[in-house]
Amino acid sequence: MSVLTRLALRAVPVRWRDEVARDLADEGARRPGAWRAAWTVLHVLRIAARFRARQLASACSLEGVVTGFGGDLRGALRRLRRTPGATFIAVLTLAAAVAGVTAVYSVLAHTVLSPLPFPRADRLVSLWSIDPASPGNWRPVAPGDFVDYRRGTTAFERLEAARNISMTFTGFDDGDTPLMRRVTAGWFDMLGVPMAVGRGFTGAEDRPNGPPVALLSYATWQRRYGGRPDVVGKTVELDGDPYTIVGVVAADYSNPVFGLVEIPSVWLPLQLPDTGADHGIGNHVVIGRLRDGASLAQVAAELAPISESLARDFPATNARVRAFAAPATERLVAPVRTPVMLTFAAVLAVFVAACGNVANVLLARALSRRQEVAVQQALGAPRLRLVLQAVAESMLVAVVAGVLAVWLAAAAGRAIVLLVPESYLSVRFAFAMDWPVLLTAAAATVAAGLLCAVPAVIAVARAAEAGAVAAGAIRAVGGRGHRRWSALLVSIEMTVAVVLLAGAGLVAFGFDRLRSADPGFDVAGGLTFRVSTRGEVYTDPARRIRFFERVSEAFEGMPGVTAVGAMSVLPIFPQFTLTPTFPADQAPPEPGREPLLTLSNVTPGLFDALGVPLRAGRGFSDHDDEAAPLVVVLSEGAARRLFPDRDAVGRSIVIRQGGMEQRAEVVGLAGDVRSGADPTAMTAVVYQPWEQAPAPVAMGFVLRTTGDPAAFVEPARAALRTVDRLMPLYQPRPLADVWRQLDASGRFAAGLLAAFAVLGLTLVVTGIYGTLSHLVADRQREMGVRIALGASRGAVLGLVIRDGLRPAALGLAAGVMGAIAFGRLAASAVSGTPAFSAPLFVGVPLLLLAVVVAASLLPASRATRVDPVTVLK
Amino acid sequence: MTPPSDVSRLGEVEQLVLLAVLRLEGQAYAVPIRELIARDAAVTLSRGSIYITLDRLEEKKLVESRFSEPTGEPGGKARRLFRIRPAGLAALRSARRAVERLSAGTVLARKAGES
Repeated sequence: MSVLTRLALRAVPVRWRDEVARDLADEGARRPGAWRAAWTVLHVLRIAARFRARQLASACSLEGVVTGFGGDLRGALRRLRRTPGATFIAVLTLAAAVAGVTAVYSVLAHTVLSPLPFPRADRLVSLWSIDPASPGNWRPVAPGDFVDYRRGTTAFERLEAARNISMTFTGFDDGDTPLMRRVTAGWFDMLGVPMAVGRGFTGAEDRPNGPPVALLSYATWQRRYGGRPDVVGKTVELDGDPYTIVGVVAADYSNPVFGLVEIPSVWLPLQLPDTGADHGIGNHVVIGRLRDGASLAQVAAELAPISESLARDFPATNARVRAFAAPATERLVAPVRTPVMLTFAAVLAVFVAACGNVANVLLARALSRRQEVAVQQALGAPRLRLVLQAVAESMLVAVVAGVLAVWLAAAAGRAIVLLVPESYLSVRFAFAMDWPVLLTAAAATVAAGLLCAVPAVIAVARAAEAGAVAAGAIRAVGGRGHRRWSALLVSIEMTVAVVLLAGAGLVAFGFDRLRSADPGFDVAGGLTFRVSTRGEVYTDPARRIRFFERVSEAFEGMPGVTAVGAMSVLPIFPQFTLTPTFPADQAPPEPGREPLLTLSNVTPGLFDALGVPLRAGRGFSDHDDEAAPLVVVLSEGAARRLFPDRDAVGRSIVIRQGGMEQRAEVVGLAGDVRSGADPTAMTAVVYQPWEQAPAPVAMGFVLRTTGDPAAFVEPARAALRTVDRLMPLYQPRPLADVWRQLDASGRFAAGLLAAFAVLGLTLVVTGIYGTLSHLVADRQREMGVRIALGASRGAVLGLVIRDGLRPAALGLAAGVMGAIAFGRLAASAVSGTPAFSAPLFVGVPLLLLAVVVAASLLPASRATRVDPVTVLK
Repeated sequence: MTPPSDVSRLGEVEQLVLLAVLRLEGQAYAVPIRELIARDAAVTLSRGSIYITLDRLEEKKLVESRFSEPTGEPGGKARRLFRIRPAGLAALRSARRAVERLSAGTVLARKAGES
């Protein structure tokens, strides 16, 4: 008889088992050999199914499960109240487990699964420009390209674009330059966002030279206009020009799409021309809503020929530009998806460990009722009834825990969101207790109730099966079953603990490495903010230069400021614009084949203010102005790319920009500066003296201070006002904050994993302690016999500890394998995380072994104190 | 609890199985019972139904089982053989009488009288 057949036979009631086996063997003998085994198993299962179906039907019709289960619940409640301490621990354990699952699921649902707060957000697609040579670098779309995409595609119901701008509120006493945004007329309709007051933009307003109209954000409406409903029709003054307010965007509008995370204060119509829009500068975020039935593949198929024809028509700008479509959330969600998923996996592991512990407690309880079960069985209680009694106890614990868990989860969820600093580089963490989350809590509760009941149910069913046999025999059956289950639970908990601890350790190592990694600039004491020259006054480039010079001098005069610098693009922020650059002593590459580098226009003081070290040559001075020969400083990374194996200082490079070529001498080498969370990603930068470039409209300032940088914001604002009362200082941020944003996802993963690792470890320790205590109590008689026969206390001690160590070692082995798999996953998910760490993978199992020994010492010493006379009486 | 009147009332499958047990004269077990019903009544019952019906008939005390002598083959265990009890015979009779009474004066009854 095959193993499978034997297994299947276990489902047939005992009194028929042999008979069914014989009959099928007789009949099966007539079948061809190859099929015999399968045929037999199939028919055993069919026969078993008939028996079980009848059993269920009779149980239902005999008592009525509902009324019967009510009685079971009452009985369970009575039994649970008899042991308040154990019940309390069980409820608390399950509550923590269910709360963890619920809270992390809520974050998963709102952050990763459906992060966009728009109706049918899964139909929203964003378009990006990519270079086929480096497809990972998604850049915003040039306006001219957008116009062609919109005209040439049919897969979209709507295709809309937005561009971030800065303008200054000039009509108020406290001028400010908050973020503003130009959008196409259909933007809000496409997203499904309503207006709180007034209306959105019309097509007529979204044309070149259309009327000056504006939409306010809800916050601006409240702050600047006191929320008055008659704001529609009034004007708002931006950069000195009046704009008519046509509406206010709904209060809860948020737009977590890459590049648009910050909510602007004012929206203006984009007003793109139908033809002749620029193809050179990619600065538009493009989002479309797919038509019903259209797919991403269709979008890609429609975009490809448009990209090709653009590359033919505008080789200077579009030779290396291809349109790329992705789900609108992709760019933001991608960095957090795996950390959140890993955390969810961790919380599920803790959930399993917690269920294991509670199952163990309930199993011990069920076994202590063996005699009662046997009596009930003898009195004619159907087996289903006995099983339901065990389930009732577990369900009762789970439901009380579930209610507690919802409350706990609400608190934990808020804490999780608080722990994660907001970042412009990734999606905002959201948490809410809505219906799907509550359903998850309910599902987790039911699952916990059922899982925890499994060992007890099996023990009761076994005891009932042997119902006719004397109670003493049942004790033996139950005892062995109990030991096997307890050992399995210890193994599972050890596995979970190793994976959690080692995993959390890996992420923490990586996080630590990231934190201690050199960003390439001096974080402490640095303050950044932006200053712009908006409005009529500064249309003359010379005037802008003069303005920024005077502003720099004003900042330098502030007490406590040791260095002042300014640059066109701040470090760390996503660098969208890459400039073609190549060595001058080489044959010029054909357009579209040059190395692409980040071009940054900086003031002479920048290297000092930012704390970027000069490795060779010199920095810039005030003499490097428009009259002097063109010079550049290369970052070490840029030098390696342009002049591999050669000394860069003293050589010349060519910069292609705006259809022109500029030749400049490399006068210095600066240290590399980090541009993202990945320690290996250093930006290749070409620094250019700001006076040798077109006069900037806005600049990012860096102040090196001797104290808390945040304390210098107001003095800097005052200093700026002495130069021009109307020009505001905006986006002030200590460099340390900017730096911290980079590792938001790593910090989140490390924090949560550490919390769950500690929780898991606690569960394992209490679980192993509880299991061994029960085992010792279970084997008191045996211990008594051993001691009576002359076993030494040491031998008994060793026996109990070995009992705990065997399943623990098995769990450790499985856990190390799990941790290795986890490490691979985590390394690819959380930047900087090592996939393997020998001290961790050896140290954690050793630590846990010590914990197991410690946890088993108390029950073991109790075993040695067993008095043979008492237990054998 | 099952009402007592159910004991004497036979289901169709129960009737077939009971008749087969009667015909097999103390040598009845699931395999020949199923084959007999398939051959003579042209009804194919699932194996599971045979076991369950035997189980139920024994519960109703209409049949009884005893273990045969162990067979000679290695590992051959005693087989459980079924035999009809007086109550089973009575139940079959009453079922047949019910059929006769119900068919009295119909085409079925005349046909029976002709034979």
